[in-house]
Amino acid sequence: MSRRTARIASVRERLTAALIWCVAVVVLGLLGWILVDVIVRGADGWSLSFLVAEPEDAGRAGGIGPIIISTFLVLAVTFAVSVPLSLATAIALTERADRAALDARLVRRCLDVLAAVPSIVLGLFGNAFFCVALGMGYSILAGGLTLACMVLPIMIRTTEQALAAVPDEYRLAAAGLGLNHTSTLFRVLLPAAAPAMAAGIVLGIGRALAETAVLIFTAGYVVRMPESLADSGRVMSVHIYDLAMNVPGGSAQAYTTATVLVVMLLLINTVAVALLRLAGFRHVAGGREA
Amino acid sequence: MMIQTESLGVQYGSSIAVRDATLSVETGRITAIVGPSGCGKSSFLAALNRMTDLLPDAHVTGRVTIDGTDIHGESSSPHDLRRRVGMIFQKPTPFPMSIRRNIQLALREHGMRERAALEATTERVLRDVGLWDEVCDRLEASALQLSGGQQQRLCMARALALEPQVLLLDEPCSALDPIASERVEALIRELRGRYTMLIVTHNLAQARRLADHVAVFWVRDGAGVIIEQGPAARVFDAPRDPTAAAYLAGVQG
Amino acid sequence: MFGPQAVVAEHFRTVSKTLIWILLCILAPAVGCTPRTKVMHDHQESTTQPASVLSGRLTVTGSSTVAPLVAEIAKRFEARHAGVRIDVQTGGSGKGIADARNGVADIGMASRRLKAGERDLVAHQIAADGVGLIVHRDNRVAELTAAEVVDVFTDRSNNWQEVRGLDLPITVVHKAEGRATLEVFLNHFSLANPQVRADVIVGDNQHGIKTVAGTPGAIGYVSIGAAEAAIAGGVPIRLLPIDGVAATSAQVAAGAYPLTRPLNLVTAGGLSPLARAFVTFCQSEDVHDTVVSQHFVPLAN
Repeated sequence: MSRRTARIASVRERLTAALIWCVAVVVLGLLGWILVDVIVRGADGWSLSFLVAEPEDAGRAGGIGPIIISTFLVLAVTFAVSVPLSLATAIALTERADRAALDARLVRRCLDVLAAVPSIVLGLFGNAFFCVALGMGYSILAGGLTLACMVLPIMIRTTEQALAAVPDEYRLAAAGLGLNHTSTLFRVLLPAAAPAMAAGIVLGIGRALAETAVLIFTAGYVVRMPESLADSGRVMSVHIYDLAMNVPGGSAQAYTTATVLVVMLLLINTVAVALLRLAGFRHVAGGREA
Repeated sequence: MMIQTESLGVQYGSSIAVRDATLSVETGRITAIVGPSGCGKSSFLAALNRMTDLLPDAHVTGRVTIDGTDIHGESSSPHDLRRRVGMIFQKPTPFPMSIRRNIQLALREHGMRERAALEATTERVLRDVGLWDEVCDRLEASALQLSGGQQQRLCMARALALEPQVLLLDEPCSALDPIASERVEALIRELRGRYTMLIVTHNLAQARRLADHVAVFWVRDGAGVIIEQGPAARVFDAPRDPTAAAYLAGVQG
Repeated sequence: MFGPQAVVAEHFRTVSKTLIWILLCILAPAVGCTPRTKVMHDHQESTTQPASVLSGRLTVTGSSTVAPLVAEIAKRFEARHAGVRIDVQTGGSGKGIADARNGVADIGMASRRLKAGERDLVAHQIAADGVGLIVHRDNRVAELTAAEVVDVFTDRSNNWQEVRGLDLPITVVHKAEGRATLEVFLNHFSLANPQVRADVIVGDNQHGIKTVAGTPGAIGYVSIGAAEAAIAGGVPIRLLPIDGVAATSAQVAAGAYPLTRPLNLVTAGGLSPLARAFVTFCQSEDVHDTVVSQHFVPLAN
């Protein structure tokens, strides 16, 4: 009897394992398919000149040089604003206030609502607020600021979780050594939370790079090389959308641009991991060192 | 009389952890605090360097003086207090950074800036805890790569670097394997005389091996109180309180 | 010697300070600059060389169908007038009309006629977009009535035999949601998208043309400009007439072909000289090649 039970148990174990593997393979396969599809279709147009040249014939010919520059400028504005803001908010939520206090709960609730706002709504808000009300017009600045509004909730949440995941023992041990609150925060807690916070920023960059609806109404559609942050500049996702939807015969270039975008994301991810390694965090992929 | 508590009470909200604890600890001696779980030993210890300030709802009553100075007095800051009264926790808590940085972090914070002084202190305290030979060639390595016992000794080195007068040890060996535990216990023995130490422990044999003085905590009317205290030999061999006697004899608790 | 981690921690304070400075540096010019003056043109246009003294900035917003064309024209216009910047933005015909009306944009773009309630604005047509039904070159059907087209696309007719053709099942090639040609097609035949029973859904015109060329029983609809270019290139497809009117660019340009829509620039009230010059340029023969290369139909002058 017991041997039979054991056999059933072992069969069930193996079935479960097989099922989990199947699901994992399906999901990975699907992701791999998308990736390979994009890269195979986009690989034709790959060349150095594509990366630096200006687009011609509504994007069917030429390259995406100004678009890459605009994309980076928008990202720079977004993260120059959202990283310090999210860090400060997350610190306020985890370190300063009582974590369960009413105002902290209210802030969290608001952030969750903000995170759920469809990006098209944020795009319209950004257009009405930054472009029109503040007089920035369609500009990289307006696009970056609107995008910052969009990534703020996710960045605050990941930063907050990164800080909350730092074991309380570190806080006690630091206090036990006579470190004051500020030193504890900057010398112990933030370094300990850095890998997870960096992961949050990389996630945020991913979302920002993928964003179209927010930017079409704020950073705009202009493909001229931007001369300042007050200029309108088309980002890569908007370019891909335009080529795929509004430019007959633009799909080949859309795929090439998408390939550049994917490669860029992979690069950013790799560089982030490498930088963290360099800074002494070894098990970045698995979260905090344990 | 180095540390003197008078009617020390600790409560969290409405629940009382320690009531009316009066204890004298002599300079350079090891005082063991024993008792069953949840009888307020750790809360008592935490009140001695005002770690209780960090706990939400914690409220401390009574008086604690160190060398005659009230630790809650207006002239004393908790940061200075904690530099003079070091604390070692049950779970080793090295920070996720290099071994060197673990020791020098607090030193810099307390004003030591000179490179040579920092390095000299690092070597001295690592030698004090017997870790120098094991780690001298890898001070840049992450402290988290050390074994549990090494981590605990690093934590002690880190505390010693601040040249405290008092060390509070909250079950420093209970998370370690027997061999590592033995090393830490030997270390505590070596440090006897140089530092005034209070050690909370569940291990009565360890308390008997280490302690000059013993205080027995017990829960009475829902709060931790000291039911027995005195020189170790006297407390272990001829306890006056019957509950303490039963506990120390291994019958109860 | 400090660990690299030490350096990181050390820099945390400096980093946050630096970020705040960067933020200030970014925001300072934005706060400092007044809302952009839209047109800073010289009032000397009536002198001997009007083109060379045009300068300033125009904002053009609206239809995402028209935007690629106007952006290309704008690029050419900027090349001819060094001091001119024309920013083309999208957001749909509705936004183009609203922006032109309330002055957010100097010129709006709309890929449709103005409605009754929009008579306060002026439409300047710059091109037309014709949508043509295409079948395989070997398909013998000469023409379909509007009712037959509806039957075919709603699956009431499943075989070319039912509409005077060979015994061949009909493959309906339909556009993906959001396509401009899809709207024109559905509007003309008074169809709602869910009614259409498609066998193949395609993205852009090229995709549609390739699909029909590779399927003898297929029928689809694409931009006439794209279809004509493909036919000229030897792709085996044929454009079907609608209501007896041949689907050619010439008929679209002449305004005779029914399945079409105008591509308009929309303006409100008095035009600045720069805006007027740009609108005129968009309607001139100088840009006909651009219109054709964007698969639209230039207007017969």
